[in-house]
Amino acid sequence: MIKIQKSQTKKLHPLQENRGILSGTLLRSFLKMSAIAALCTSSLFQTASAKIIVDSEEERDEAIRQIKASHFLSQATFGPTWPEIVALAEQIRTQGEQQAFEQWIDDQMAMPASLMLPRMMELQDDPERRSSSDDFDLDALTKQRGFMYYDYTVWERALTAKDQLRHRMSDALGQILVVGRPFFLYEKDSGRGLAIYQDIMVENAFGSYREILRDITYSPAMGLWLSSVKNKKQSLENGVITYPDENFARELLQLFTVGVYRMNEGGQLMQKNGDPVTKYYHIPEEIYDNETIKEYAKVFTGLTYALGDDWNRDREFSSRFSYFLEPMELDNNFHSEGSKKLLLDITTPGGQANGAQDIEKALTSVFWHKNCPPFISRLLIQRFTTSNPSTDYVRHVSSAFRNNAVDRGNLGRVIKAILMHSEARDSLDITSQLNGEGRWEIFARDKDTTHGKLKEPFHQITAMLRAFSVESVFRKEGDGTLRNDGSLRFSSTLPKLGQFSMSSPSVFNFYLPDYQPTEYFQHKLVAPEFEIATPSNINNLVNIFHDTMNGESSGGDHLRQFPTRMGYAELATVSLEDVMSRIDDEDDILNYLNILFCHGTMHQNSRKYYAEEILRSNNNNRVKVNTLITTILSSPDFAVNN
Amino acid sequence: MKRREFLGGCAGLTATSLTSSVLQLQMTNSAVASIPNLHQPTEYKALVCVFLYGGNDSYNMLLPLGKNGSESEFENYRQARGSLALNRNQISAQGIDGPDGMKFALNNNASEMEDMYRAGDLSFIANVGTLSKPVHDVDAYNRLTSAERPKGLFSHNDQQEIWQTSLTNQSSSVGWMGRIADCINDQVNNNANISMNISVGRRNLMQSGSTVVPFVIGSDPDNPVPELSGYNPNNLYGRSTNHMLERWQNNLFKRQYKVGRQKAIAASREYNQIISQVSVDDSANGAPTFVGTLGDQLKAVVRNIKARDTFGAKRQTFFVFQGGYDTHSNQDVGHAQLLSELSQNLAAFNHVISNDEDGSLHNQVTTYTASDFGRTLSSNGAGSDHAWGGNQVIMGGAVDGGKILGNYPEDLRNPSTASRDLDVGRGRILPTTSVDELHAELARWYGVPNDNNLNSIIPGIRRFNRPGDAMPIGALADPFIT
Repeated sequence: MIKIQKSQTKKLHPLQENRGILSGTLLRSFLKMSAIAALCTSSLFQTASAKIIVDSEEERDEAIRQIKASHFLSQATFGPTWPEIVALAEQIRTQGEQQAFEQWIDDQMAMPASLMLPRMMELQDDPERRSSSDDFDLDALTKQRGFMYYDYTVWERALTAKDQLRHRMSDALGQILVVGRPFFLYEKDSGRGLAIYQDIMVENAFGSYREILRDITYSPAMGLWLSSVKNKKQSLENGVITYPDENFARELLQLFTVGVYRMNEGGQLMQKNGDPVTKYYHIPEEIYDNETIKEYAKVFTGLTYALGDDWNRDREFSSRFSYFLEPMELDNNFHSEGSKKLLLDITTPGGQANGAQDIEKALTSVFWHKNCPPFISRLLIQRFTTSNPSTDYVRHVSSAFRNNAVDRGNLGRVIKAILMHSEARDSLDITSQLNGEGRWEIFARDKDTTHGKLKEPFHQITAMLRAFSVESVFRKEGDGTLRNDGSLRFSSTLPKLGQFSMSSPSVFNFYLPDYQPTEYFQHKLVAPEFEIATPSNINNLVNIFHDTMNGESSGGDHLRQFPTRMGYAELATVSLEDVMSRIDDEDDILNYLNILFCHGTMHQNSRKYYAEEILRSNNNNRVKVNTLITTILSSPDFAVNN
Repeated sequence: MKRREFLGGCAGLTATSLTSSVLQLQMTNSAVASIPNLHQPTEYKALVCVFLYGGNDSYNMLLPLGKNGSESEFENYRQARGSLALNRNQISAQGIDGPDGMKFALNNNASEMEDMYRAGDLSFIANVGTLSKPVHDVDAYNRLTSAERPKGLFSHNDQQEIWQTSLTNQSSSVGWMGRIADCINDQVNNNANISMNISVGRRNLMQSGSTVVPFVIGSDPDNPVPELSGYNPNNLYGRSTNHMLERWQNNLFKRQYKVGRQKAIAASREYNQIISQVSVDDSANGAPTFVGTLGDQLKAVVRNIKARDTFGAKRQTFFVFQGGYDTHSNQDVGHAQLLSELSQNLAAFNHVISNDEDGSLHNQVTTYTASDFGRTLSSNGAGSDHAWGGNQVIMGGAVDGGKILGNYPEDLRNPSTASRDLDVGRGRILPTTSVDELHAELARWYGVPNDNNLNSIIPGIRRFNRPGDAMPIGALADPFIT
């Protein structure tokens, strides 16, 4: 292979480089200009693009396949690894893109589900796996510290589970069917309760949304979170009427199935006159009012813990029981009699109270509502590929959800539709050209400058840790020896990053699906993840990258330490072996990092800078690699999936 | 869902077409920053919003006793609230005086509020809620068309949105404090990195402008705005970071992230330099002290207010919050804890603010509570459900203290005012004072003249209050009216 140290860069449009030196008020007006630029998508502004440089046509084709593989894996997993990229690129070579991606999805769906609960219990109950930094007070263990083992399991599944797509899907579903950790969940076995709840999503990640709705309705974690447990029919207490609790009823409709406003198949809100809402003064049609909520509230009465529990005991708990282990049961003595008027003109039969039957009818009425497919499809698309799917994209996924009423709500079909749609797969314009030195330059440009999403902060951390094969050891209780049992004993990222599995502060998730940063509202676009991208959270995230890369480790020059203050591991290491081995070939190392972390979209001027100012600097290799990786991981080219 | 649209702008400005030329845009930029006759723009003023997320059950915060020594209204209250009713020994023994000889009482957990009420530093605004126009009773409510009814009644996020935007029937990503800042930030705040609108712990809609981005402080009290570790603009990491962040990005998301990172770097450095010189002493002489996360947030607000001159700010707004008010269950214990934390922290804040060096802050800082909605008077067994009108606190030296303003409904069994039925079902009370009126009152005190400028800040205000009218609530004085 011919090594050419100084590759020529194309002459830049003056506007492009000028922007770097703008500051203060000038920058501000340029920011405004940029808003216009994005609207015009004029070719003048299309100069920034990414570049990969290789020697031959074969290498070029391979690099393009790797870009596509990495792009796909960044959407469908907790972060691509180099071996996975190479393997998927090879599949693309032999089968073609469509086939290769579909095959990958099918393979993922065929894998057995790696559930949360069994692994969590293994870590929590096995004395061989008890760490000296764990808390052994049984009371404490079963309360707040119970969440610790859940957190370990979240990390381990995200970082090492083979069934990556399943866990990405269950993570996404958990952000729709939200359960958090309020103080009243800090009770006996509440960590198990979260694992059991999350396993509903893990198990049904490619199954039926209808099944999930039923399971969460009977879940004691949900029962506590949205106060549907021991919710009783209207009654007279001391001469005063007590009404059914409306909490679960309202959020089941508003957040879990149909929303508040009428939607068309493409996910647009609709006015009463049947036209979509397109102007700010258009009023979307509400599809139910509070009378409807009251009817649903009656449906969700009579649910109680499966303990043969005395209903009349306090609605809250006593620490003598494990409330979270079995689905709730119905006690029809406390279920509202009489018929309930539900959506889709469904009415439950009057007469004797029959909670199970009423619940089935109620779930049918929301699941089969026209809003449900586009409402859920849009939310899921936002978790995987783009914050602002077109109406065509939402319609396509909705139609996969509906599937002409055959096996409606099959989530395997839904995720396939999300990942295989052209807006997910063909968002990059990948071109190549021969340069003056007879080498191939590959450019990956955005087709649509408003496409994509900010990666969730948790997914950004997992992408780093997966790419660099994180491992950890813990100090065993008793003999104090270091053990590696495959566990990754890290803790919640909620305090630093504003997000972690099953810990949303409210049922509205960490961010709203319609959150608009200031620049976005002029475009009528949304960017949910930016709601938690506060200055503090952004700096915390970047500091995790920085501190990891600069974390000293004695095991070898290629090893770094993931900060152990992130959890209870004694030591966690990542390996930069693959990167370090490429350090003497600047194109090779930059191509590698560009594909691995930016799926080919690394800014070409950044690339030039990395080569000239970092790799060719007088610093030692360790400093070069640390700086290079930290800068790339904290760049928009990594943080944004476009 | 994509129905958010630019609305308003400062008075005299028409919204420009978004596809207009760069030239027009520049015009907008330069014209945005002013309310020419903002009242005394060189004198400091701050608004502090304490948002009670989830919907405060405020009829268990402020309760009616009765007139002329009778406690008949308390009996009605107990009937209405069933299992949620507080006992006589759970509320202030002595009671506080309301209008027309009516006595009220505060939840014992809000005893500090009672002290401040008596001291004239705090008032209550009764039965405030979202309204698109004045609605006098349930019959009138039932006749409203959907366009005349606030959107998403009883839904958390819709109602929070209206409380923060003052727009009852449309979605907007610009809040009412954001609109003020859009107009006056450049006039009253000469800090490029730190906005006049400062939020503690989370983003909010209320302070987001169409150009002004609120500065969000983190929730870690020891290090609210962490700086980048290992970063120095002159070292290799610093230089490579800066170079990378200066690249132009075509993609809107990449551009947003890049700008977010640049601001985080610049603001965190400047913020920490300034704030490290400020200390807050809340330990004086048995006065209430800050407690819990709300306490941390309010302490941060005090630091920011004390640093106002270094920031170069003559106007600031602050947004702090307390979560957990969605008391569908466990209300007895949960609500008591929340109120107790709220009350103690408000008192600590009032104490520190009114004991500043030169004694001027007391009249310059006005604090108020806001919440998604009130809650049903009727019980669901262990808690209450989403409702509508609720009672709010307003506090500060500028407040006409010791008053219960607005209209506290009579006979909570059948809530009404002047014989007009206010119960839209289950003890969901039709508001008698609108969110727009509350915001207009605050904005006018803040210095916004009651003319077209106010219309552009609170677009719905003219349905309730006209130019030349007195203050809609009367908690604060309009500085233009002498």
